[in-house]
Amino acid sequence: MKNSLQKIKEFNDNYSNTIQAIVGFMHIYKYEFKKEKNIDVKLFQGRKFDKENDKENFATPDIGILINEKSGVIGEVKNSFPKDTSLWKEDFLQLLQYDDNLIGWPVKDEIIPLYDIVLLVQDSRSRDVKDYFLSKKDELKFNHPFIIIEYGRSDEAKHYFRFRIEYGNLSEPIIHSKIYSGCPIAMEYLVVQYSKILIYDTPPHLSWMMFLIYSCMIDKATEENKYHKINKKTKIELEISIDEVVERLHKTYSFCSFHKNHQERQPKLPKKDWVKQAILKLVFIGEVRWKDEQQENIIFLLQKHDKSVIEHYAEKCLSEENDVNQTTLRF
Amino acid sequence: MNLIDFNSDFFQNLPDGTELISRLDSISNSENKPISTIPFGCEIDINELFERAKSSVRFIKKEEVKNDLSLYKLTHVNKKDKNIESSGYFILYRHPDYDNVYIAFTFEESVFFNQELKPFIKSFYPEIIFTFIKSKNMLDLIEQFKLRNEISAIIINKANFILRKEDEESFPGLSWPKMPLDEAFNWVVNDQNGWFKSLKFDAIRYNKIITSVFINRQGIVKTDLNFEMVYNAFIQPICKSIDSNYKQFRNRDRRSSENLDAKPLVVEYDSEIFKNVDENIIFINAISRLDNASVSTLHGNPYIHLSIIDYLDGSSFDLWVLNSKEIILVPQMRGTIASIKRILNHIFDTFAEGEIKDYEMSY
Repeated sequence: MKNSLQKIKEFNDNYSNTIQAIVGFMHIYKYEFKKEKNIDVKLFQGRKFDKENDKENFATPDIGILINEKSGVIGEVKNSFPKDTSLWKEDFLQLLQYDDNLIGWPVKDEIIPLYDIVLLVQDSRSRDVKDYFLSKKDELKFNHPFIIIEYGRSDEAKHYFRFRIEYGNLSEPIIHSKIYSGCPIAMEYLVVQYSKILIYDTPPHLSWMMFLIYSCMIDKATEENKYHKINKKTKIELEISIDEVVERLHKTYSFCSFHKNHQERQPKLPKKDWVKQAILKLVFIGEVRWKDEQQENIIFLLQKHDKSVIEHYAEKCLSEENDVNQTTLRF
Repeated sequence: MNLIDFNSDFFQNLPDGTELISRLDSISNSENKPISTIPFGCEIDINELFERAKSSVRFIKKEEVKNDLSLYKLTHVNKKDKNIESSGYFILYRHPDYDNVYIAFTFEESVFFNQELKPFIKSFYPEIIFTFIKSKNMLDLIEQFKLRNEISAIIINKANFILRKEDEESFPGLSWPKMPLDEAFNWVVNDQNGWFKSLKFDAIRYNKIITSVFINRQGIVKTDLNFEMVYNAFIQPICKSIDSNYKQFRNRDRRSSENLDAKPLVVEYDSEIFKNVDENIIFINAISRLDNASVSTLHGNPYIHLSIIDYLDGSSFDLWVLNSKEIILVPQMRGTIASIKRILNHIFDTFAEGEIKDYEMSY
């Protein structure tokens, strides 16, 4: 159990590291261009792009940056790479999809002439990933500038998130020189600025989703003046539709504030399916009741948990693992 | 002293709040009657709040009202036979300078004060808040009091304190050292790295005790003589500090901001209190002892990230330690003034006292 709990913790840690890498990297652009020239920078996460040469499929990169409506950056964050290097090709093939001319930029005709493709890799693997890419350079040919950037925490008296270019040249000289030999961002800056972002366009661990739903239910109860001190015996019953749960999670924990003025191609996150899976689990452990046969409305039984809420749901996911046969959201 | 007679006379002849203090002063001096006070904050109508009190054993009745003063009678009855177990009066005074600050005064015995009035007022949490007085501020208040009133010596009669040895968790102590002020503070705060929960001391002028004062971290003040002097030196600054708490902690939650932005607070320390990572464990253990709360550790080493849910009023927070001298508290969707205060108080009570500041962004 302890090892499994540790694994969940590591999963959640990787998940939040990825979010910090996304916001940290985007932040460098936002900050530098605002500081230097007050240039408009638009940021987006999980935006749906069409591909000029592949009408059947679309791309949803982790990172999207548009600078002055002219140039941009598309990126993917890989917090971990499998030990088996033969599996790495898939990640690069995903990046190669972005090499098609992407349609869907938040500009008038949805196309921009120039954009970089970046791969953000944790510092422990960045050198190996670069070597792998160089060894496969003949097969993995990018038409757009391709850059590998390492990121990682630097734990000194103050904790930093650091970005450094491992391979390639970013098209924006200001940013390139900033990141080339290492750009530290104080973690306190990141977490305070972006502490509300807890979900991106990859499903989190089921227990994390359950925790976020629980937090949202407390918010709902307080907002509607239904909250009173809860303990093990007193519960607050809250009626809510799954769509409202999704909406609340979206407003509270997603990247939605980044997309306020360019929402048109942004998916609503978390996806309803992720939320429904977590609700199913909450029903299974007796913390939620269905209100209708269509399973679109629920009654959430808000109660106090003896231990930490996150640990409570992690343990529930482990102890009931065999019954539901799934602890991680997969779609 | 017949309290009913006193109250009736008191209310009939009282023109305003300024005179209240001098009247209480003369009563405490002439009758040698101890006065206990609870300064507290409340943002909603206090009379409505008291009327809302639902208890099958404790009843409150408003006896008199005049300007900003109200006289209440608080009665406690036996749960089974409904016989009166205790009852007493208290005066509620709305502070003229601070909108949301009140002071409850009583001349009743300490049993009534400790077992009835104090729990009654406290039961309105989170609508009602007290302040918290750090040891350093307590020392400042006492030193100012000494200076302004030509007091030659302050002798500590009783001290309730917490000591905290390096790399160890804190533990409580109670002492009657008959110690001068400087020595007592030096021993607890400097030598033992601790802090005072409450103090009882005599103020001496020309070898004569001119007043005895009890003061605790929540701002409760009791005295037996020279009430006005004590009011000006302690109760007034405490009321001001409650007002400052409201100003500093109000609208910190994300819901108060159009973009749901976070408005964090920082607890800053003079020393590098988190230099040694062992301190992380001590800190996390201390925070985990917060009652009626869920404390989840998302990260414990090398940096700290906790998620806190306050079950008392549904507030929630992220807490981060990202450098050796600071704790960052980030209120989430709901972060009430009372809950922010409760968490900061808990940090000061169980870990270490620091300076509360607005978080300033630094890239």
